[in-house]
Amino acid sequence: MIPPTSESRFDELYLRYWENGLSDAETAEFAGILERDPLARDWFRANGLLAVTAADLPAGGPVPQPLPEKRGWSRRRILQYLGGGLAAGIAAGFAGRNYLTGSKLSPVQLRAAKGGVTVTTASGRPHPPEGPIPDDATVITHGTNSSAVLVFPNGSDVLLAGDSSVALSGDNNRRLKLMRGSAIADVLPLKFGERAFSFLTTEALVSAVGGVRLTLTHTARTTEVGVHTGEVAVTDPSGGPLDSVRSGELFVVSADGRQSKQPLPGTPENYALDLKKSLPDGWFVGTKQTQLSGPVVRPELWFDPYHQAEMYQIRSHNRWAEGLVRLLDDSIITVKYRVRSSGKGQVCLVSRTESMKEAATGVLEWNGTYRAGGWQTLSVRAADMLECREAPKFRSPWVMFLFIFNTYGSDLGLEVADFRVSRPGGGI
Amino acid sequence: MTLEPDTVVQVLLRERLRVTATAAAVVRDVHAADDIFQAVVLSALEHCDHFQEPEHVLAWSLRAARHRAVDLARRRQLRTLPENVLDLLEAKWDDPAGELWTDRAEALHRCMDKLTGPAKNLLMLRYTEGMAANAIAGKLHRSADAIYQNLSRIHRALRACVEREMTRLPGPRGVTV
Repeated sequence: MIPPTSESRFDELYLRYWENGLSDAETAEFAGILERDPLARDWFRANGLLAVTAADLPAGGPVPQPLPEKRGWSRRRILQYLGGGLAAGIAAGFAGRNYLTGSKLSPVQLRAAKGGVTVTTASGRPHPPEGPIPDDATVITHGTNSSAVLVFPNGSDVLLAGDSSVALSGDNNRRLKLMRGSAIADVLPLKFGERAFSFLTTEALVSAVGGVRLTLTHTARTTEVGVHTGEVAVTDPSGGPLDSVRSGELFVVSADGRQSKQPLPGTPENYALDLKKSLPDGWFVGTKQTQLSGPVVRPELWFDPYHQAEMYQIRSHNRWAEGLVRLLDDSIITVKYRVRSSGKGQVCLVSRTESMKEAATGVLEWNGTYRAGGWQTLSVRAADMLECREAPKFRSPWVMFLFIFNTYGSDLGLEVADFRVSRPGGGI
Repeated sequence: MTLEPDTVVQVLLRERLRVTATAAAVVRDVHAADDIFQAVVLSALEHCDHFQEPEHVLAWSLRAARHRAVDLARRRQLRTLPENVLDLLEAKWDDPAGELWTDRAEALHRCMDKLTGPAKNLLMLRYTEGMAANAIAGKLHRSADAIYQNLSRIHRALRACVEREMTRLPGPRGVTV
């Protein structure tokens, strides 16, 4: 017989679940409780209802708090869509929230926003993704094809690549906390007395005093600092010295404290997904499984924001700054796969130009049929993957920074055992 | 016969708390959950011709909200619960007995009205402001443990209060935590 769940233990886990503060073991414990105990599931649902109802509470009580600041654009879109009485009904549904902005604007400008870009104030209120942004704002680029550039009064700028999030703080908003994704910064030499730029992640604090071009990539458990020109000092987030990184060097520090430094690699012209190792840090969708025939990656069902539908997909990690592989017209893409049943699918290679500071992106696509009947090998030239709507509008080389296998809404039982890109005669 | 946009909107307005709570439980941000609800409304209006019954709208919107929330949680690098657990949770969110949900939400409002001022403010800091226990502790000059314990007591007291209200059992006149 399964013992009943302790309500206090449930609450302890729930409160830290809400803060994303559970360890792997605690997450497993919490999931186990919810899986086996219907009462715990009732508590969980009740707490969800409590959270959204509490957010509607009017301000009051002995500790005065500002009203919640809310995002308004989507509400306005609904109002525009509906008009009239229904709009009034919707508006009534959201009554009690304050949608007005009013934060102090900083001299930092957001420019060249592309795709889905949001700016929110320190208290979560929306702000237009163009022009001066508020002090202590958070800028998020949603989706692989989105990007934005932060321009500082001294001419320094920071490109935020797709699927990235950065929060500004400190004097003159010159401390940038990269929560996830990639940032490419061109910091100009500082004048006497000018505040230095610093870049913070959960693993590292990077300080740029002189002129420097650097790439910063933060995945779930790793920070990579690549210095292209100049020099930066890297400490741990509390200020303990780690290393200095000079022009042409790549410094990597992990959440467990491991660190390494190596020459900054150029984007290679060959690539192979190494399934003998764990999937790379930051792997987005898809799971690795080991079978008698060897390791494979299998898709997961997830909601694809581009197609606006649930699909079975494998999505790699995003390596905007370094790039995964440099594709030329004659590059050969090879996939070893098998499916349980034949069906429509695609292989997408999401690519940028050779300059990591250009926001232009495009997708090379193979659109065809995954064929059943044991292991199959798909081989296609990069130049033959351009007959598609999202094809790059720039010439090769294309720097692939992410790849996708998609079988749309059908679970074909896709298993990918090998994925590689090579040049003729230069196989790996 | 497909549903008119008016009907779809009415269903979604009636079920707003349920859809938003589903998303909030995954993404752990009530404002993001509200945005997800609004996006789901827009998407539902664009897919009006797919719906034949109000129950279909509810089931579709709960599933859409969940997937959008999971995507957002992934983008924010939050640990999410396994799919099978989300399925189990959704099974009851999806219960078409909407009247029960409305009753429950009304009961929760009544119970919240009985909270003391400090308890209401703690909930607001937690859910409206989205503050973690450590941050609340700093703001209120208390220990994080004390904040966790207080939040835990408020949650339990409110759940018990709602159950009493739902079963119309007599209980204490106020919830003081």
